[in-house]
Amino acid sequence: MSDLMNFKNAIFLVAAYSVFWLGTFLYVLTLNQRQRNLEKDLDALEALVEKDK
Amino acid sequence: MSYLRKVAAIIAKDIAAELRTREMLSSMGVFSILVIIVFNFALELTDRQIVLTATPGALWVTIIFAGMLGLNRSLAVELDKGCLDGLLLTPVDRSAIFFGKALGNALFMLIVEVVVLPLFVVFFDVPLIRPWVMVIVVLGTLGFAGVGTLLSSMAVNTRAREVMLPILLFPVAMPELVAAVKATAGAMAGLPVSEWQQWLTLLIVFDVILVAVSFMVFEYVVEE
Amino acid sequence: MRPKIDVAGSALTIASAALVVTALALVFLWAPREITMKEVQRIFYFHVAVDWVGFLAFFVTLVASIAYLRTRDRKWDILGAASVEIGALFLTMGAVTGSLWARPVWNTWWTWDARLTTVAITWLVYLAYLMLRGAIDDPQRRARFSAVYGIVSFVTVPLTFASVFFLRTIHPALFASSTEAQGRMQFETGLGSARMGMTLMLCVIAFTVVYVALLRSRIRLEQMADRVARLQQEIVG
Repeated sequence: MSDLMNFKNAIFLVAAYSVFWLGTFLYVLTLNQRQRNLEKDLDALEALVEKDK
Repeated sequence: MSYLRKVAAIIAKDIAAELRTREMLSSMGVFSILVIIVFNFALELTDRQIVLTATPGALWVTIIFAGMLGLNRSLAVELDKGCLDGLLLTPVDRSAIFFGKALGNALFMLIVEVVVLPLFVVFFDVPLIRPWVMVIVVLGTLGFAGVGTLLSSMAVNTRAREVMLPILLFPVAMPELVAAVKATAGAMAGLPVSEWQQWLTLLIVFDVILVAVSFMVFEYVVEE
Repeated sequence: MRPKIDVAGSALTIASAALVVTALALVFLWAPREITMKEVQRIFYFHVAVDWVGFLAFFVTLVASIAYLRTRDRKWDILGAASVEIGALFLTMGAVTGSLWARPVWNTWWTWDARLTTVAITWLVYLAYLMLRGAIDDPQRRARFSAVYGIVSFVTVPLTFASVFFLRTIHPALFASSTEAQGRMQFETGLGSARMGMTLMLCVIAFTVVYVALLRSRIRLEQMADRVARLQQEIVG
């Protein structure tokens, strides 16, 4: 009986720590994605500026 | 003296403008009545205890929603007609503009409350016409109008306009709301002041803090 | 020319990872076992740490907001916005994991006690701040209004806590309290609470470093966006 409760509780424990990991991981992913997009834009723009000169 | 006169002038301007159209007051009034009727269906009127417990909250929800209508209208009109820019060109202390607008908004809310309180008494048979209740309503209105005027003057200048105000205002006004509701509950029940005075104290303290902070940062909102 | 190797960034990332791994080790291997809640209680460590840093972020934004209004330097605006974004992330994780802890322990997902209510209200403020920024196009006005709201909304944190706190002390029986739950934690080993304290402290430090690392990345991202905008202006103009 107590074992079953412990098992169900363990699910909450695992879920909680997944939230921490997932949350941080997803945020870092979006940051990286946005950074890559910006770097692309930056490269293109810098090339344009070079051409104009 | 001149400062007070400037504040009074701004309030007078707002009153005069409203008297011409009565748009804002009528929409606030109609809205309040609608909310009261909805509460009538939401609350189990057969159970006296439930009515008594829920009334302070229902009252303040009505006040706050009607108040936001007024706040939106008041600042939106300023923006559309360019009145605010005109005011800012005059050599008036920014804080006078803030107090003028805030007191004007509070006044309009109070006028609507003069209608709302008796309506609650009539529809729900609750003892709201007590001096302490009126004191609490005035205090809550002042604090709400103060911070509401500040936030509304920002909200009106965004793309989302009127929708922005509730989003900005609710979290900030929450403590004020809690104190007002609990104080109203105490006063309504006719309890001696000592029993619920900490809520009254909190209400006053919250008022002072919210209005003081709003007044201090207002100049940063209207500088253009 | 963009420098290819970001030393500070890498250092922060490594430090964060190291601290988080250490914290995890402490939480699961060293921290004492709670008698009633058993293993589920271990959620407490990261949950409290993340909430704590989530509120620290607000304080950072407050300071940045005041600094912006005084200096009008864009860097303060960037700091304030970045801090709110990460603070919102942390508080979201804190609230969700708090619910996941509350459910097995108190058999409810949520309770409106002083702490949780303050977390909810602060979360709403963060959301409002971000929505406000999203609704303004002009960069100067956006910075100014955000700073104003950052200052005004900060007061609601202590005020909300105070108002709900008094609500609780008057009707203690009606409100379950996370404070009481924490106070009542008892551990199996004799050195229980000492170990708990140290583990918690390390978790807070770990999450603070993670916060700083994320903050830095977010700030650099915004600076890059500024550069792009400037170049676009240059080309068009």
